[in-house]
Amino acid sequence: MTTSTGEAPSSDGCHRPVAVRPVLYDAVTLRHFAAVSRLDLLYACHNDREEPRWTATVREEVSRAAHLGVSECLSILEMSWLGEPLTPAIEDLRAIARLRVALGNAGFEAEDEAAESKHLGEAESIQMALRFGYCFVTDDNDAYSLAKGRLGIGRVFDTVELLRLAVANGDLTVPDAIDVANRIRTAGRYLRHTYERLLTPADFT
Amino acid sequence: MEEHAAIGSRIRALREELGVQAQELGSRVGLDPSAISNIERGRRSVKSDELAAIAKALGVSPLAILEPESLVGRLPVAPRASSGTLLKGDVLSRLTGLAELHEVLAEGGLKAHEQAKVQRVDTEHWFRTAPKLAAGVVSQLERDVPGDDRFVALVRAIEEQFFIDVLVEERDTDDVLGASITDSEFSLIFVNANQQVTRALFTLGHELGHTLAKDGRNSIVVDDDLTARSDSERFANAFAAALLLPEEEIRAQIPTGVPDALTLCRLLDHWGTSFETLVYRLHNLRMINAEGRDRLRSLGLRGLVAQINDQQLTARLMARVGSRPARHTPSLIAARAYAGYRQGAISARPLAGLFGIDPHIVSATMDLDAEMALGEAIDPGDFGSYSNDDLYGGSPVE
Repeated sequence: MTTSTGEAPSSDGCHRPVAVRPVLYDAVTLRHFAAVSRLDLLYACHNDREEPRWTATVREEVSRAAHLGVSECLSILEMSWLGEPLTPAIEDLRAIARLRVALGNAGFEAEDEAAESKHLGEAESIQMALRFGYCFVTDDNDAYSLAKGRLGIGRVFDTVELLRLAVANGDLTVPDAIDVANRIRTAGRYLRHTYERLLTPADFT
Repeated sequence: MEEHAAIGSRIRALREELGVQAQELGSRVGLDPSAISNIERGRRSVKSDELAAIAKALGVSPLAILEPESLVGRLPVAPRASSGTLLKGDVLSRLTGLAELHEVLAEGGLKAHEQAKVQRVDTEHWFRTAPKLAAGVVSQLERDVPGDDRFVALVRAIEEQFFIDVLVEERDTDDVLGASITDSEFSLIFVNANQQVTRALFTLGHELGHTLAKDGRNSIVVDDDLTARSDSERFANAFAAALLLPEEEIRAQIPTGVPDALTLCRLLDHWGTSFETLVYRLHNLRMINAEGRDRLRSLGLRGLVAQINDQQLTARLMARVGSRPARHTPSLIAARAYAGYRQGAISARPLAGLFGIDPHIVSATMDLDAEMALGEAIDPGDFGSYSNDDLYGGSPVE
């Protein structure tokens, strides 16, 4: 069976080619780009894709940090292009709870104030991407690896891969991409462990 | 709406079981009482972040709300320790986390190995059944070694021969010596490493008694002391004593009359138990009377070794007084978690959490990304053909 575009439907039932499917952003990646005032690069990479672009919990995480005065989170909330967040249906809650365990949220950590939302944004995004055939962007090592295993090749990206895409699209030069990545690190934020070494032009070509 | 109602009624049931008022729950999670009421009545949908907050506020896993039929759902939300104290803290969270991990691995096809079959026991008649079960276990044990290594050897034997996971780690926030998950789907023994190794040995035997007897009606047993307050506790104590100090061999080592100090010290050295355990056992075997028991108790270990003239034996026994058991990762679930990580069922964090190491070490050592780059896409519906022959036996970072 093929769709009208000649594209075979994926196992998740999404008939659109992967290249145009909605992309869900994790809070950590949004904050990476916001920290260096380059949220415009996300727009440049994915503005041709439809909403949704984040889930309700990811938006809530960003909003909570913004209330605490984290300036980069304020700029994310001001970015109207992100649009309305996707709220999981009640049928998704069980899968989200299990994904959280798979991401390392074990036990209820009674003394840990942050525990109630730990890995919830990533789990919610992966479940929504699985259910609707969307793509997912994260710089959390565990979420990236788990999502890649569940969603398959070509549907999970991290910051360096987005910068590489921006270079390929002509939105950035290679030196600019290296500069953005290095400024993210200088801002005290971490790229995935794969990039703990010094980044070179080969990473962006 | 049916699903909303089911979740709502489960939240209400758990809240009431824990004695939490709706208003109090609402204030803990930042919702007004009417929102809690509507959620509980199935009139309002619960969002994923609200569900997570409600679960945390109640001190339960979200899976306990969403899947009451699962192992996590079957675990009691507020188990009482053997002294009657309500257990809410660190140890319960750790056990819940392991049960959650078991659920996720089992869903991915990585089920727990079925616990070895033992004779059915009646804990009500503990005086007769506990020694009988212990004798059966002793006859099956291939790795029981005397002396200082006995605790470690017994832990390994329980895992390898009875397929019961054993977790030994220090948990200071709860006053708990040991605990066990006694569910038929997943068995696990926890021994708190904050106790002397000789005492930990008895705790291990005691929890093994609970686990083999499957007498935790609510799938979980928690011991904050080992006082025999119920038949279940009496059974576990009698089982541990008979397991650790087998009658036939004890009688062979004390051929006649009341044992002298040197004989007692040699027994302690050989069997690795605490002085108290030995005294308890000798009295139960009627090898000493109540007067002899009380005299030994008042003498204590230090008084006993003061009566012998063997410096090496004295040094070995006194060294055990300050010795704590080494941390032990439950190897059966660790093997399943390792397979689960390789197959994409779980991320590095749960595996690292089992070993108490940094997740970066796991992912850097066994870089799943590298395999993915080779195009090995994993079908999410098939986490592979895990076989118990593939049990992983070591550390992922060795």
